[in-house]
Amino acid sequence: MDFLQSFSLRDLLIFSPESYFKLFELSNKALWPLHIPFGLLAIIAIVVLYKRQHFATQFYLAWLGLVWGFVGYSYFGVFYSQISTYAHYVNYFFWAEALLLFLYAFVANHESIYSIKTPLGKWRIISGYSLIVYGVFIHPMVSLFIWNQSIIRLELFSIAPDPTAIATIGFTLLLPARGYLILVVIPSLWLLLSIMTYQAF
Amino acid sequence: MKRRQFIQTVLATTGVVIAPNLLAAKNENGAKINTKVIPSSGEILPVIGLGSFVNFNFPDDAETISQRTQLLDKFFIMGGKLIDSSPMYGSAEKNLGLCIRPDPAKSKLFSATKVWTSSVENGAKEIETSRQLWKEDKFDLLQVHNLLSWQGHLETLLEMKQQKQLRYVGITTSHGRRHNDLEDIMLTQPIDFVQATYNVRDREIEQRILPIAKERGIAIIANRPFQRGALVDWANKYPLPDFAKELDCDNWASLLLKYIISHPAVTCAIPATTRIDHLVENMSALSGPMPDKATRTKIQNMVAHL
Repeated sequence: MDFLQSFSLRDLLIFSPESYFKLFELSNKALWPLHIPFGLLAIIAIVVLYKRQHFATQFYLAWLGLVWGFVGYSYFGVFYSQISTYAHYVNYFFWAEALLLFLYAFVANHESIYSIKTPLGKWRIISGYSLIVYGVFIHPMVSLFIWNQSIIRLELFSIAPDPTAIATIGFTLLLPARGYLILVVIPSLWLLLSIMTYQAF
Repeated sequence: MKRRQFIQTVLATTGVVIAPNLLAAKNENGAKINTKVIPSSGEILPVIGLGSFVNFNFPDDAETISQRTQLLDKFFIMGGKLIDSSPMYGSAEKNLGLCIRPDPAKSKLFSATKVWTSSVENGAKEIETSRQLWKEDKFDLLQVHNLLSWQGHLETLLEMKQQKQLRYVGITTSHGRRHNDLEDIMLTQPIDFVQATYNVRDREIEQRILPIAKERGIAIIANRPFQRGALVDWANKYPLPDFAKELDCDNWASLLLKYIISHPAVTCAIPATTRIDHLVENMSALSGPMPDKATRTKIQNMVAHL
């Protein structure tokens, strides 16, 4: 135990902040101009979510599944794994979240979970929309400002993991059935890991 | 008489080894640099090497590769030789392989890496992967990283050394961890190098590890010389003491490194950096006089009271 306690967060970090932020630059360069359709899809998802149509829930769950699968493969599998051996394992967690989202979109009991008659609490609606707006529109700017990075290193929803996880928690909070809260576990774990990484910087 | 005892005796009786057993060599610019002797072979090594933890773990990017190549060029020009890495350092080994120019840098390199796997069976495979990443025919020094599965790995490394696939065998620790186990290994195993944390604030190895190294003829590589940058960042807030001029030190990095390498049992220190200006400061510790015992005490007291 003493041995384990002798490690600080910083000791566990094997890359510099510069290398970490470089990943966003490299992934943005490699994926451009996918940012445009990805951004449009995010806006469409918010609109259909607001309408609360039956198909809307199914649509954005399936779309979120694709986003998580893509971020897992692209960010962790291709880029982050270059500076961290453990990124491959995180990639599997992102795929697990993608699978869960697909299961809820296509396999789960639609009658109970897609019921649009289920009223949502006021705070749940406020929290959900706030997290979505923060994840999609505000977090990328905040991150640039706090860490004094150039625009090319923008962390964008559906490309970078932090805004994707934040907005996913928001989307999940707006789902009618409580069973959906299981979808929050992996995004929350990732955000915890991400906060620890920033603390170690 | 064992080889290393013989070498130590010869060096001592011929007066080559002076306190603190520093020898002067020259770098590419013809400037004198301080070196020390590897006790087990008599080979000389510049007292400042280069670590690759964090600074060489970067994603595939032409701009960064070009900058680090320049950094390594400067390192070799200023007289550096030993570069230390590990499979644990992400892409560091791969990037070193990309950034060390085939010629003439390669000919000056003293390559040091580690074996870092709990499976002894996978050790040889990991070493081969490292060798390919470094683009080296064979390593100068292979070390068991953080004493991980050390019994099995040491057997492999000693066997490799016997078959001339490797020149030196070592073992590493850091942050003052597992020093009791390290002592036992130093007392019982025929190793050439030990790597451990040593700087003006982390001086635990002065108690047992350094005396054993001196007695047994084991070279010491000091890691974390700046406590991952924290020590030199902290020191830079204060003016350099007047006596630094007598040691030809015009920056804190140089003074803090000279404190480390002036210990008679320490062979070299391996600061890591990404910046060429910082590298130049570090490498300036390769030249000029070393602090004597009284000056070392002054440095200790000064750091304690700052």
